[in-house]
Amino acid sequence: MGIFRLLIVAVLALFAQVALLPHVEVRHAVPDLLVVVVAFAALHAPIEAAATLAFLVGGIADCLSVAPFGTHAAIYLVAALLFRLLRRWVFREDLLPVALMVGLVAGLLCAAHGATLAWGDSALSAGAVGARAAAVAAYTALACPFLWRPLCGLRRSFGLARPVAR
Amino acid sequence: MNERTAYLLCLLVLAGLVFLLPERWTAHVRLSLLGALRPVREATGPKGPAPEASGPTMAQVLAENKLLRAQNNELVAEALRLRIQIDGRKEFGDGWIGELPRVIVAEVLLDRDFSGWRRSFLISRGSSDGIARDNPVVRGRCVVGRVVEVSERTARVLLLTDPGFAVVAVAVPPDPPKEGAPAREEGILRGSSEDDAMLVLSRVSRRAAVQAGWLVITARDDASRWPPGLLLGSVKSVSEFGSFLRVEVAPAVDVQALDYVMVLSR
Repeated sequence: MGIFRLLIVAVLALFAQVALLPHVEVRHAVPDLLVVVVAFAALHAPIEAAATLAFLVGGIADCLSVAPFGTHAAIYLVAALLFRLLRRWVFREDLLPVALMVGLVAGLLCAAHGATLAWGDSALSAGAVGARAAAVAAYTALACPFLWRPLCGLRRSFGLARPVAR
Repeated sequence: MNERTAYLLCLLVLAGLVFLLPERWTAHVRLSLLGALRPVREATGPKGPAPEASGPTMAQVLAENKLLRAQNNELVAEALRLRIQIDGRKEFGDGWIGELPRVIVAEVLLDRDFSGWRRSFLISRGSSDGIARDNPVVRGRCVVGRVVEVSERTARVLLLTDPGFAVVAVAVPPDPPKEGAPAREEGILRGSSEDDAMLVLSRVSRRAAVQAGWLVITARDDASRWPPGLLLGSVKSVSEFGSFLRVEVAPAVDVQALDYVMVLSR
């Protein structure tokens, strides 16, 4: 039941990202709030639940984009698995490594998505992809604590009070 | 292989399989889901008249007066919006050569794409209104984009600033050319995610005489069957790029600041 509540939070983060964050974009980059929620799920919930949440919320994001259907579902699923792999290097209550890791993964995913576009006959250059990915990484790392703290505060209502055994 | 690994593998395979689904299925699914936005928009529009009160008191009359004022304000705003749309249609029709295509006015329901790399928006008209895939979308005589996905009640427009947008275009001088001077240079206009306010006209020969200030319009193209002469933008700068010229074009319309658009249906 708790993971459904987290799914609702993820959907709210998604709509905030579409409706509000474009107003605070810097050099065409906005923080990726969904990556923060997926990271929280991957670090605190069982991996099956986190992966399913990432896949579902990515599918909803696909409905709001002209990108090929399944792009965001695959991106956030890979993100969930990446966070799980990186879990042993991150202490989940310490904000700095969490923010750095979330920013890094958000930048990597942004670069991967941009590279698929630049790969074709597009006016998009590799330098532009790198610059945008770096901006998204930095912006997401800066925004991460503002969402991470409330998520940690709500952890009990998500049914995630007990730390996941390594 | 334990259960957990098997489940994750299944999920990964499922994510891969989603890519293989035919585009018309996926487009139908996502636009049908977003079609729920149209009734919401209609419900938040001007309301109907309030029910008549029998034996009204002064408080009721004042309340009704307040309501009527609010309704009047809404109607004035609605009339102004319609007037702007009519002016837009007239602007489009003026100077058009040949038979006018059917013009369908549509409201912009969602003006953002979730992906930071793509540029698209959702409009409030669909196949039931006569919109079809690849229809040009304009504002006045300026191109905004083209329809890429259609459901019964909504459609998605790929904006001309999207990196996936491409159209055969010609650059022409703003004033009638002097005798012997080049009158038009053809190329392919593409969008770019690098800059929202920049398009790129590619495949223009190095010998071409394109200059800043030239206008870029749609060319006659039998493949796309787009009407020729729609304004795409104006040339901002020209630089050499291999054996071609790289022509940067400023879009004629700010695609992120639109509340309604017109779809040209065949």
